Amino acid sequence: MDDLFENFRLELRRGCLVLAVLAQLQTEHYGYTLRKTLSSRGLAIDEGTLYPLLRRLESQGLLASEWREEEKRNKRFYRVSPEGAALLERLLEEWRSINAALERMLNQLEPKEV
Amino acid sequence: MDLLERYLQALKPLLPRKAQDDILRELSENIRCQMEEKEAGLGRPLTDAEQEEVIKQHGHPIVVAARYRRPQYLIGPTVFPFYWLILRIAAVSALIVRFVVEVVMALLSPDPTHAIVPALLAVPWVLIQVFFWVTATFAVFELCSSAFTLNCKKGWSPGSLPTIGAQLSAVSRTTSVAQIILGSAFILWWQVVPNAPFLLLGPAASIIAPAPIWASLHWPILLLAVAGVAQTGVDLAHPQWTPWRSKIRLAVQAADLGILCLVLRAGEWVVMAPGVHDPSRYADVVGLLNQILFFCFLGGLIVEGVRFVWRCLRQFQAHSVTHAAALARD
Repeated sequence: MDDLFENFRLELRRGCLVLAVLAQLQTEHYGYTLRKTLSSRGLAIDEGTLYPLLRRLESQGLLASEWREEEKRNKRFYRVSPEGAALLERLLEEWRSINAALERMLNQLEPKEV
Repeated sequence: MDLLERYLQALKPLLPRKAQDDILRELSENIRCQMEEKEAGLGRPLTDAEQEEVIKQHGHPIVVAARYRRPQYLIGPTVFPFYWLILRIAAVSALIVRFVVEVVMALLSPDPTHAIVPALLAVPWVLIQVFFWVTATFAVFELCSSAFTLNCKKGWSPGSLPTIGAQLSAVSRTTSVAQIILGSAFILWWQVVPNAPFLLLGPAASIIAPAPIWASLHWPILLLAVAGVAQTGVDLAHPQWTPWRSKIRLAVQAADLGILCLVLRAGEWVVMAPGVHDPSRYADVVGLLNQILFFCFLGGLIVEGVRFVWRCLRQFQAHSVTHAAALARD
C-alpha cells in the first residue's frame, strides 16, 4: 500500500514540479538557490530530479541559461524564456481549473462523510 | 575535494557526450555550494565522512547519469506482446527442428548413443540464436512501427472506425503480426534453401538431399506464401471480417490443399545426396525418412482437408443466414 501511495504521489508531483520550476524561474536563479527556494516554500526537490529537469526544459526552449561569475565562482543562471512564460500561463490556467473542479467535488462529498 | 573529483570522474563517461562537461561543471558547482554551506554552519572544514555524505545524497553515478538520458528501449510496450508470442513460437519450433535433425544425424551416425550428448549441448545455443534473431527483427520492427504510429496519429478519422458489431468479427492484430513475421521468414528461408540445403537438413545435407519434387514446386509454394503474407497484411490494416475475405481465404486454402496433394503424390521427398561414399549404408535411412514424411504429409492433408470442409460449411451457413435475413426484410 505504501508503494502504491508513493507511486501515485510521484505521479502527482511530476507535473507540479514543472509548474513550480517555471513559476520560480520568473526570477533568475542558479540550481542551488532554486532548490533552496523551492524547498523553503514547501516543495522539496532533490538534485537528481532538478538538474535533469532544468536541462530538459532548456532543451525544449522553455528556459534560458547563461554561465556567469558570482562571488568569484562560475554559476549557471536560469530564467524562464518568453515561450516558457507563455506556457506557464496556460498551464496555470489548466491547473487552477483542475484544482477548482476537485475542490467542488470534495465539497460535495463532505456532507455525506459527516 | 579528492572525493568530489573521483565522483565526477566516475560520472563523466556515463553522461551524454555532447553535454558531459557542462553537466559536470554544474553538478560540481552545486556540490561545492552545499559543502561550503555546511562548513560555514559547522565553522570548520568538512571531514571525509561528511564530504562523503554530501556526495552520497546526489546518488550513484549510474543513477544520476541515467536521469540525463532519454528513456531508451529496444522493444516498446506496444510491440512487446507480439515479440513475446513470436519468441515463444520460434523457440519451440527451433527446438523441434533441431531435435528432428539430431535424430536423423543419430540414425546416420555409426554410434547413435554418442550423438545424444552433443544434441543436448546444442539446445542452449539454439535458444540463444533464436533470442538474438527474434530480438533483432523486432528492434527493427519497433523503429518502423514508431513511424507508423506517428502516421496513424496524424491521418485518422472517426469515419474510418469499424461499424458497431464489426469489431467482434475482427482478425486479431497479434495473430496478423505473428503471421506476417513468420510468413516473411519462411519466404526468405524458402528462397535461400535451394542453394543452401544445410538450412533444411542441417548437417545431414552431406548425406541426403531434397527430392526433385521440391524444385518443381518451388515457385508455386513461393507464390502461395507471398499471397498469404499479402492477405495477412490486408488483415492487419483492416481487421474487420468481410464475406470477400472469407472467400479469398478459402481460395488460398484450396490452393494449399492442391499443393499438398501434389507433394504427397510425389512419393519421394528426400534422396541420397550426390557423391555419398557408401550409398548402400544409408539407403535404409533414406527409405525410413521417406516413410516418416509420407505419414506427416498424409496427416497434414487430412487436417487441412477437414479444416477446409469446416470453413466451407461455415461460409455456406453464414451465406444462408444473410440470405434469409434479406428475404425477411423484403
